[in-house]
Amino acid sequence: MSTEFRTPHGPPWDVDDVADVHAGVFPAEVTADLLTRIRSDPDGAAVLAALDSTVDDLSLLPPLLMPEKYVLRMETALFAERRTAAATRPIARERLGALLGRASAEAAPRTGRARCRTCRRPVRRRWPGPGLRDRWPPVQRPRCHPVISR
Amino acid sequence: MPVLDSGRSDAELIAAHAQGDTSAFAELTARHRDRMWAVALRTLRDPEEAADAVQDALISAFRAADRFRAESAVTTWLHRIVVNACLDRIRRRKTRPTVAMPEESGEHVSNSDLQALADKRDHMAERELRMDIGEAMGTLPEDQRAAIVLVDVEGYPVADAAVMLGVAEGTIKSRCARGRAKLAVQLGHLRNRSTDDVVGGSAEGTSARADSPP
Repeated sequence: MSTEFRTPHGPPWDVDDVADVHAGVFPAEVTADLLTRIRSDPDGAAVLAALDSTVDDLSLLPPLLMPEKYVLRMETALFAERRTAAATRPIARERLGALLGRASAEAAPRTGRARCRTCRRPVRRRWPGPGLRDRWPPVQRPRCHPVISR
Repeated sequence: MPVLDSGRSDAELIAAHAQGDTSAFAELTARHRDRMWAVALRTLRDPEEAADAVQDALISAFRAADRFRAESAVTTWLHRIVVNACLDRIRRRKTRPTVAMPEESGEHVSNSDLQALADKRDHMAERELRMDIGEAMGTLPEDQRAAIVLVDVEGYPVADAAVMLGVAEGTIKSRCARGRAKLAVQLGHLRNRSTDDVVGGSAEGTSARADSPP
């Protein structure tokens, strides 16, 4: 980053230069020197006072409270987001064990992998997307074999 | 529904949310909501858009909480997301078609209409109307307005504002300087001037005056 800058000269002082000095754009020692010189000029000092008054006006603006209707709207959106996140998060081992009808949570597969209903080989469980979250938990274990209707 | 304050710090709440604590994010939201709203409203100047920006930002934060690194304060991180959501909306707003002003529409404007318009403008300039601060801030370019809102209105340190806006600290200072100089004119602390005006010394038509509160 370049540290080169154009040091302002005055009087007369450019208003934007005074604003830069006021905002601390220049290094501290340069700023201190420029402030002394600007304050010694009545018109320069008046610009500094005007900038101070402006900052005072801005700092005295009252705090704003979010209106209730927007708070409700936002909380509803966040609630929906929370439901979606909960539906797509892998479920706990204990709950998975209960869902699979095991006698105890200890019997649940440690990795959360399910077994095919037909051949009992481990299969990857497909987690439901947001559109299916209301139907979660799934009532059937997955299968890796096609089901042939007779 | 009121959210109870558990007394946990912002960082603890973010960590708890990332671990699956369903109440942590609601508590964080309740804690920072109003200040985020103030930043959004003062940056966008439209309540509906500000509410949407805060909502978008909070949903982004909800999803990205597990990627939060404690290199910056949680409040700085949240405000950065809000400010970015606001600036995105301003950029999108710029691409929308606007209604042409009479001067741009190509319609014939009579000399008497032009004279009336000029008189009206002169009259307004002479009155040195102290504009409402909100209106005055609306006249600033959005980059200057965003810097002013964060530093001068919300009181964030320049370093935090720089992180929130993703620019160097010097850029924040320059934007504040430009914005304050314009606002000083709009609020009546400084007389109207052109950008290359100088004050003091031998310059004619001194453009500055000390503010004299009523």
